[in-house]
Amino acid sequence: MRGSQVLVQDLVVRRGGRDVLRGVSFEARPGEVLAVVGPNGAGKSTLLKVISGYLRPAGGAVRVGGMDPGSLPPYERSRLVTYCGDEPDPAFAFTVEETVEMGRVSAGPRHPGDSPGLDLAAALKALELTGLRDRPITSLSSGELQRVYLARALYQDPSVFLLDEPTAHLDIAYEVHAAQMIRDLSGRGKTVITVVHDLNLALRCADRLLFLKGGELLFAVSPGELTPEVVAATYGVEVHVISHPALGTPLVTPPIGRKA
Amino acid sequence: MAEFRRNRNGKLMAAGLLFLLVGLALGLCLGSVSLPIGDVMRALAKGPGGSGGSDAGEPETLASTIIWTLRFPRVLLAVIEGAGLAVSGVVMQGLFRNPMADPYVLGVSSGASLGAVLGIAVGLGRALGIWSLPALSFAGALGAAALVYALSTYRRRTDTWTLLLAGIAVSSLISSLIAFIMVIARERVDEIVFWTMGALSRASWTSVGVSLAYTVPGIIVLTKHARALNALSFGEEPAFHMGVEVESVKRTLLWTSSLVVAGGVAFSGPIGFIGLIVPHAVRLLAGPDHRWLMPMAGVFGGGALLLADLLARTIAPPREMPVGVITALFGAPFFLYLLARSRRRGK
Repeated sequence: MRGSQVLVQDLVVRRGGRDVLRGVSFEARPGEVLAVVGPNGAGKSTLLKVISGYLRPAGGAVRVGGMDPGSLPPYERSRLVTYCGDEPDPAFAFTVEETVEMGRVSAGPRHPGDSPGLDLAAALKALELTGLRDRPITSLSSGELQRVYLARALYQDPSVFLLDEPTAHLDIAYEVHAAQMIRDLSGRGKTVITVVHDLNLALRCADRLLFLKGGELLFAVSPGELTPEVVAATYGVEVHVISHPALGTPLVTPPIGRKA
Repeated sequence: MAEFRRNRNGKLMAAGLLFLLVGLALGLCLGSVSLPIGDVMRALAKGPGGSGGSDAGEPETLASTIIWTLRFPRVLLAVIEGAGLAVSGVVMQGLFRNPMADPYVLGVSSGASLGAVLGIAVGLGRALGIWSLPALSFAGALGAAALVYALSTYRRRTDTWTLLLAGIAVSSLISSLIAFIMVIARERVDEIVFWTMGALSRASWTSVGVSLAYTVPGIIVLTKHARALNALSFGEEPAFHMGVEVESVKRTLLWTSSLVVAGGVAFSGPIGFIGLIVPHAVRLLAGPDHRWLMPMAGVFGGGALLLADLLARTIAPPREMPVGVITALFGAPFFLYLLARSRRRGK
């Protein structure tokens, strides 16, 4: 595959007169999964929204597929990248199916080089929404709604997925599902950058973890390279990094009630 | 389901067209003088000015005059304006993600009538011709919409309650401005009073033509953005990520719906609540997809204003109520019901 799908260089984002991101640089290849982790207010969501083109940087550069997402025409942008996160409460009673279908709202001819993508039924099935397809979204729980929005992003089928806490409202069964969905996307050559709070989830589904704190990128490590020092420097807590007794993958466990 | 919805909505659309047709027939037949449908058909068939041949009897000439100079333009103006108000209501509700938004509540109608009143009082309407009245209304509508929107938007977020409050505040500011103009321009006070109450009694073929020219292209532009509006009703940021050109679509929708409102209000004054009730009723029946909602709101809105106007001119004969009184009579309680319901839901 080609080189980097997402390129972030010396990124500076200013909001309300203060730097929310300072000098952040990294890149992501096609098929790569990056997890952005860090304490509240570190600038994680902001980072995703700049890559999506929704927020404009005050300095540095963002390239998605070699292009500046903020200056692309909407259709081109929607083929290249999408952001999926919390949304305001739905105002109208669209059905689940109609909502997922809106992933292709800017539909136009699909580019010849595009991946075949998913059809609507597959997008619904991937998040186990088939049984809910005719339900009005105004009657859904926040977890169900989150799956609907994920399915909509899936159906939009861009090259880069920016997922902002995709499992925030999900129970453990759907968390497993969402992790599987991320792996599947990666298998299809999609780049996934996701903000997660659960370090162990990040360790399970990401190729690299970006530790963000106070708007700066402190570490970018693969799951195997994670040390307690990295976590301590980012969060200010002392943890143990042990090997998962069954899987052998790294596992983070905080000691109860002790602060670093 | 999609199939089912298409079928059902097709039937609903047919029912709406039937409703409109019946409304048109009633609107032509009923009034201070009731005409049998046969006479109406004959007068329509003969065309305007049409007592026709030498054997034309006196009553037929009367029927022809009533139909062609009074009722026909009036019912057409009702349909055009009702359609425009309802479609604009749909657009504003979708855009502001708020089922309580409508051209009247948001002050757009008041702004439009301020423009028209200025046109009458200052005599601009006379100087520039009848086509300029909607243009002045449009300027007023747009000014009011921009003001209300600016007042209720902070950091790209439009707060629902602030929006309603700003709409009320701007509306009453405009009402007082209109009252002020009425006192200054005493010699035109009758004409202005007519505007502020909302009535269709001055409909003429010219007003039908002009309002058609403003409304129809406007509605076409609005319906072309139905898909984008579907996405926008999820919020501006989600719509951006779905690939909608948010700012330009929003601007187009706001401008065009104001234009459509202005095209009607210029000749009738602000008529409330058609833009609120009709979108609601149609959304309940047809679902929230704007591709269906807009054309259907147009058809049902036209029929609704037609019936309201019919009621206005037959409820207390020989007197005529302003149609705005009738729509408010039904609309205001409905608005309060919506308000109470959304409070209960804690939104």
